[in-house]
Order: sequence, then structure tokens, then C-alpha cells
Amino acid sequence: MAGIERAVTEQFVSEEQRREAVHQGMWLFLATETMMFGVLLFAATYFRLAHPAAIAEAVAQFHYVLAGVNSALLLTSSLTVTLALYAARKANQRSVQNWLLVASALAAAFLVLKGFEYHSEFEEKLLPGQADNPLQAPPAKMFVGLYLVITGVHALHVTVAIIFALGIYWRLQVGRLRMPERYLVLETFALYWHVVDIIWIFVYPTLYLIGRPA
Amino acid sequence: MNAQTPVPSYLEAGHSLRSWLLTTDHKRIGVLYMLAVTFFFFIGGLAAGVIRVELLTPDGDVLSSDGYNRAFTLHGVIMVWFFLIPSIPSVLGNFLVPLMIGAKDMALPRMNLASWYLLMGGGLFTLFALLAGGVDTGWTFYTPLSTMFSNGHVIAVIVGVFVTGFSSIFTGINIVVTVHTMRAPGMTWFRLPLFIWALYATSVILILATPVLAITLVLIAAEHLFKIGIFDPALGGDPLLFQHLFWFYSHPAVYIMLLPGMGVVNELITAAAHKRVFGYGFIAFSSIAIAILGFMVWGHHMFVAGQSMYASLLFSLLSFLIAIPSAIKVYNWTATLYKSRLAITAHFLYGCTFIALFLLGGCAGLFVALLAADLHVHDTYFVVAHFHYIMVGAAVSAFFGGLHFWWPKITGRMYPETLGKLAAILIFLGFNLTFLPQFILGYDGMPRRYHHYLPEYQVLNVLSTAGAGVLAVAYMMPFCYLLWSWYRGPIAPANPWGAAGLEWKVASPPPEHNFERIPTVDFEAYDYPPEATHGRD
Amino acid sequence: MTLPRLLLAYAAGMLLLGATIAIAISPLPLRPVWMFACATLEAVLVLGCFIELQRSSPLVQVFALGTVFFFLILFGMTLMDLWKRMGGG
Repeated sequence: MAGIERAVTEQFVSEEQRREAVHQGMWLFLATETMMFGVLLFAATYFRLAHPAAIAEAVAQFHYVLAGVNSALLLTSSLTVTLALYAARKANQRSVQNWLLVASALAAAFLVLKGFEYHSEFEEKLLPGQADNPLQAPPAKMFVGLYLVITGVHALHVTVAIIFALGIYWRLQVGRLRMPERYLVLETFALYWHVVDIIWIFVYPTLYLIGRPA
Repeated sequence: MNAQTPVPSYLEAGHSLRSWLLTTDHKRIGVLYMLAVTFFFFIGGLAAGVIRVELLTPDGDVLSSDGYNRAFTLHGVIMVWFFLIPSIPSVLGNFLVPLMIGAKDMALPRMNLASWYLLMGGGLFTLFALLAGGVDTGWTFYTPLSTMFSNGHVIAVIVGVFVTGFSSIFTGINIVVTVHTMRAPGMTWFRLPLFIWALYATSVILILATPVLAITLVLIAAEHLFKIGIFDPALGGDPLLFQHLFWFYSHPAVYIMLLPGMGVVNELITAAAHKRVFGYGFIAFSSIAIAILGFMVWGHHMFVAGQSMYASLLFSLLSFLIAIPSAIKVYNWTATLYKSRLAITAHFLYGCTFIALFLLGGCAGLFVALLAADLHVHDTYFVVAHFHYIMVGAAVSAFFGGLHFWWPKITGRMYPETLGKLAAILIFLGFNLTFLPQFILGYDGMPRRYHHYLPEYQVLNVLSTAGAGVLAVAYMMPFCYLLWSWYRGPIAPANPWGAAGLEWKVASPPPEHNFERIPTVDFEAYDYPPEATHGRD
Repeated sequence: MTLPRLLLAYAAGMLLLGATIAIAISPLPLRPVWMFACATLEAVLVLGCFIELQRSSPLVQVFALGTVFFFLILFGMTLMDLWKRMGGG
């Protein structure tokens, strides 16, 4: 009887075919992420062109150094995920698990710093709807709102990535996954992680750096 | 020769609810989708009935103005996202793609099942929100109404549509990956049925356009909840940005709704004609061309919205260009019928309905693509008639035609052919009675989304409502006799129409894993005998 | 990709990150262009050295990179409209 509890690999005739299908599927899904974040970065660019001075006023208030540290954390986490893949190829389960934990910790640190950032912005009364907002021009206030949406959606994706990492860690722990037999699972997860990193590589200058006074 | 025990069909592989709700068999998932979209079609149809009853009289006497807004919003939201978009790709596509390419299932079966649950979850959630008071913004959610002034359940409806968007994306990914990686040996791209080409083009649109809708909905929600000001001019935002983002998805979305129908018509026409389709390559590439060009014409919805003249000119030109591949298909289908051994079946009548109504609706599309004409007919019933000719006259007819054509394959039963032909004719007549008057109404200036109108429009509105009544009866007929046939219809042979295609080489209904051995394809698509003198036996 | 090369790529990525920030607070002309170039190089490093996209099938490479170009072309059209509406000649 066909069902979700039975292995569903019968549709493939070879491991090669399966690998290619899963790779294509994952990249197509990541293409949808590109379109989603593309729209958000596009909206930011659109408003930059429409209200350059007001946007510069908002950007001057953003914590670019903190966010720069965050960028470094995320890039490092991508490195550790790649190291997990290397360990998996050598069938070193323990090492895979350790690298996954390190990656998750770095990404969690990203989220913590992000939380500090949002908190400072709250303290500085920059958030939409707060009274005594130091920003004068309405588009500046609006841009802060857009910044919150973009970084918020990205943070959601980082959270999902951490959950996936810990999920794989657990499945390795209880023996429901073995490397290198189930390498494809780790590889697919790593792709997602790297693309979340790449997205931030573009989000960071678009929101924090462009328009910053020299 | 040797008595083999017949292989059980996919319908017999488990009878419990669990075996259906946890299935990963693409055929069962197709049937689940069929039930789902039928349900949503009814709801959307009921809303249409309410609208047409209201429009019988010039005064708004059945619903309040706000109630009317909610009614047409319900109609649009349900019909677009929960019926039309999933109809052919997720019902017929899921069922047929693996069979047509010689595979045992789709590439990603669990994602397939997940996509159905996303449709059901999002759909039921949205339906609940729409019925619990609904939303008055129209399915287009224009700002600032949706973000600042609407007092409806905007967020709830948005969440439901957002969730369903992922159902679309998953279906699209599955189809592309399956067509790329799971074709049987020898099944080259140019041996694929044209239905597959059409679904492939549709899937590219599903993957690239739907995420834009998703994030646009997120932005409306953020604006509505936190008054961020992205679409509010007083705060430096731009309502036109919303329209750019919304139509960037929603125009390609109409090709998501149309292209699969064109794919089905290929199959209906060639099978009825028992002749290889004329201009296979042209039709295949025109599907791709429509998908690509479809991404470049969204601004034609915004000619009077304040877009720059420069952009309007560009979008108008591109909108004219997209008529070309569509026209090529119509010419090729017609040419296929020339000197063919034609069998006038119900599915052939649906194919003809598609061609005729698509022609009329498509020509009307040229009017609205023309800047000078659109100035007068924008937001009138002319536009309403145009898109219903395409979405209902063409796309829904194709869906019904496909259902009839592949019904024997899906269920293993034959439906009553005479009733099938009668329903098809009644649909054609009822549809034209409903929507032809609307072209005139729009040209004469009746605006859309108004429930009270000037008395001189009444006669045409009454005709339109009468047509809607006929159409309702006509749509009920297949529902009744198809359902009846599933239990009482004569057993269908493997290939009742004598049609070409791998799906007709397996039993009706197919076994659980489609093919005992993956076939090797060494024949062209639509390999009918050159002189169609043999016909069906 | 060997481990030393991977680490080199990582170091290069960090340098590019530093460069991007340095450009932002420098008096260079056309800073957005330079920053975008650095970001693109960083992304290429991740794609080439962490993901090793060049070792995937050609089709996967098309999917991965094609989307970006598609998106750029199309949103260019929308930005063009904004520019025109703002009075751009």
C-alpha cells in the first residue's frame, strides 16, 4: 500500500537520477527565495531613488557595525556548514554533528545581536508608531519600517535554518541518518544555509551601507 | 495467451481513508485535487449566482454596496486561487505527467502530497475568513483600501492565499524536476506530448511569479498591521508600487490559468482528428514564448493608474506581441483538423469551444492592449467579458474537456457520450448568453464592481443573468453524469478513443506504479498513421 | 575543494566584507557601485567555494544563476517607470 510511512524512492531508477532531481528541486525552491528577497531589496532601491535624502537620514541611525559583525558571523557559519559536509564525506558522524552545532550557535548569535539591534531601535524611538521619533522626514520613518520587514523575514529564514540544522543533528544522534549514505540530506540543507547567507550579503549593504554619509 | 492475474489498479491499492490521505501516488493526489477544486468551483459559482441575481435590477436591492463588494471579492479570490490555478496543473497534470513521460511517479511524491494539504489548508482558512464577513477589496487588494481603509478580514484572507501560494510553487517545482529527470529512455523533448510542454511553461511561471505575490501579501499585511507607509503617499510610500508588484505576479498568473488549457486542447484536437498536430515545434515554442512574454506585460493593467507614458507604451507593445504565439496555436489547431478523420466526441466539442471562445476573448484582449481604447473600457464590463471569455470560456472548457477525455483513464469507466455532447453545447450557448452582452455593456460604459447601474443597461444584464442560469445547469450536468458513471458507467478499455500517447498504453485505470517496465520510446509524439483512414476500431 | 583552499576563500570573503564597510565610510565616488561589486564577489566566493556550484549539472547552474538575471531585467522595467514618473528625461 502506498503511503507516507514507506520509502518512496521507487520512482527513481538510479541514485544518480535521485540526486539530480533533489538538487534541481532545491535550487528551484531557492529561486523562489531569490524572487522574494529580490522584491524586498527592489523596494528598498525604489525608495532610495525616490527619496535619497530622507533615506540617508534613516540609514545614518542604523547600527552598521553591529550588523557588520552579524555578516561575519553568518559567513563563518557558512564555513562551518561546509566543514560539516567535508566531515560527512569522510563518514565522521561526530564531526558532522559538532560542526552543525557550531553553525547553529553562530546563527543563534546572529539572531541575538539582531535582537539587540531591534531593542536599541526601540529605545531610540525609531520604530513605526513610536512617539518622539528623531527622524524628521516621513520617508525616513517609512524606510525603518521596510528595514524591519526585510531583516525580520531574513531572521525568520535563519531561524528555520537553525531548526533544520538541529533536526539533522538529532537524526544523526538517534541513528536515523548515516553519513555518507544520506549525504544528499546534508547537501540539500547546506544549500539552503548558504543561500540564506548570500541573501544577507546583499541585504547588508543595501540597507545599512548605501547612503551612509562618508 | 498466458493467463496473467490482472494487476490491481491504483484505485484498488488500499481502501482506507488513511491510504488516500497519506498517499504519495500521483494519481490519487490528482483525484484528491479534483475533489478539492470541484468544491471550490461550487462556492465560487454560488457567489457568481448571487452577483448575477443582484444585477437583474438596476437598484442594489439584494445586497448592500459593502455586501456586493464582499461577494465579488469572494468570487474572484476563490475562482482564481482555489479553482483555476490548481485545476489543470494539479488535477490533470499530477495524474498524467508521469504516465505521459513514462515514469512511475512524480520526482518528489511527498512534496506533491504536501502541496495538496497546503491548498486545502489555505483554501479552507480563506473560505472561512471570506464567509465570516470577508473582505471588500476585490481579489486585487489595491492599496490604500486594503492597507488603510478596509474593515474586512484582510489579514486572514491574505494568510490563506499566502499558504496556498506554496501549493502552487511545489506543484511547479515537481513538474519541472519530473520532466527534466524522469523521462523514459528515448523520450526526447521533441517527442513529448504538447500537454507536457504547456505544463512545463506553466511551471516556470508558477515558480518565478508566485513568490512575488507571497512577498507582496506580506507587505500588505505589514502595512495594514503596523502602518509602515510603504504604500502610503503621506509617508513617502507609493500606491503604484503595490500595483507593479501585484500585477507582476497576477499577469503571469493568468497564463498559469490559460497555458495548461492550451496544452489540453492540443491533446483533444489531435485525438479527435486522429492526425499528428500541425506544427509541433511552433506550438511547443509558442508555449515557452507565452510564458516569457507573459512576464513583461503586467503594466497593461495600469494604463490609467498613473504609470508613466513611457512604460505604458512599452507594455502596450509587448501586450500586442504576446498575441502572436497564441494566434499561432489557434492556426495550428485548425490546420490539424484539415483532412482529418474527425470524430465528433464531447471532448472535441470542448476543444472547439476553447478555440472559438479564446478567439473572441483574445481579440477583445487586443482592444484592451491598445492604449487609446483601454482609456475608455478600463474598469468596465468590457474587461470583465474579456477575461471571462479566456478564463471561463476557454480555460474552464479545456478543463472540462480534459476531464471528459481522460475520465476513462482516471476512473476506468465511460461516461454517457450523448449527455457529454449535450452539456458541451449547452455550456457554449449559456456562456455566450452570459458574457456576450457584457462586451456591449462595457463598451456602452457600464462600470465593473458596481451593483446599481443606469436603467438603460438592464436588458443586457437580464440576458446575462439568464445565460448564467443556463450555464449553471450546463455545469451541473457533467457533475451529475460523471459522478454517476464512476459507479455505474460501462467499463472502459485501455484506449477508448484510439489516441496516441503513453498514458493510453496502460490499463484504464492504471496500475499503482504505472508501468511494469519503463518503456523505451522510439516513436514520435502523436504517431497516428499518415493516412487517417483506419480511424478507431 | 581542499581544506586550505576553503579557508583561503573564507578569508577572502571576510576581507571583502571589511572592504565593503571601508568603502561605505570612505569619501570614494560611486560608493554603491563598489559596494555592490564587493558583495557580488563575496556571493561568487560562496557559490564557487562553499557550494561549489560549478560541480553541479549545467541545468542546476542555469536554474541558480538564471533567476538572478531574470529578476534584474524585469525589475529594471519597474524602476524605469519610477524614474520616468519622477521626471527623468
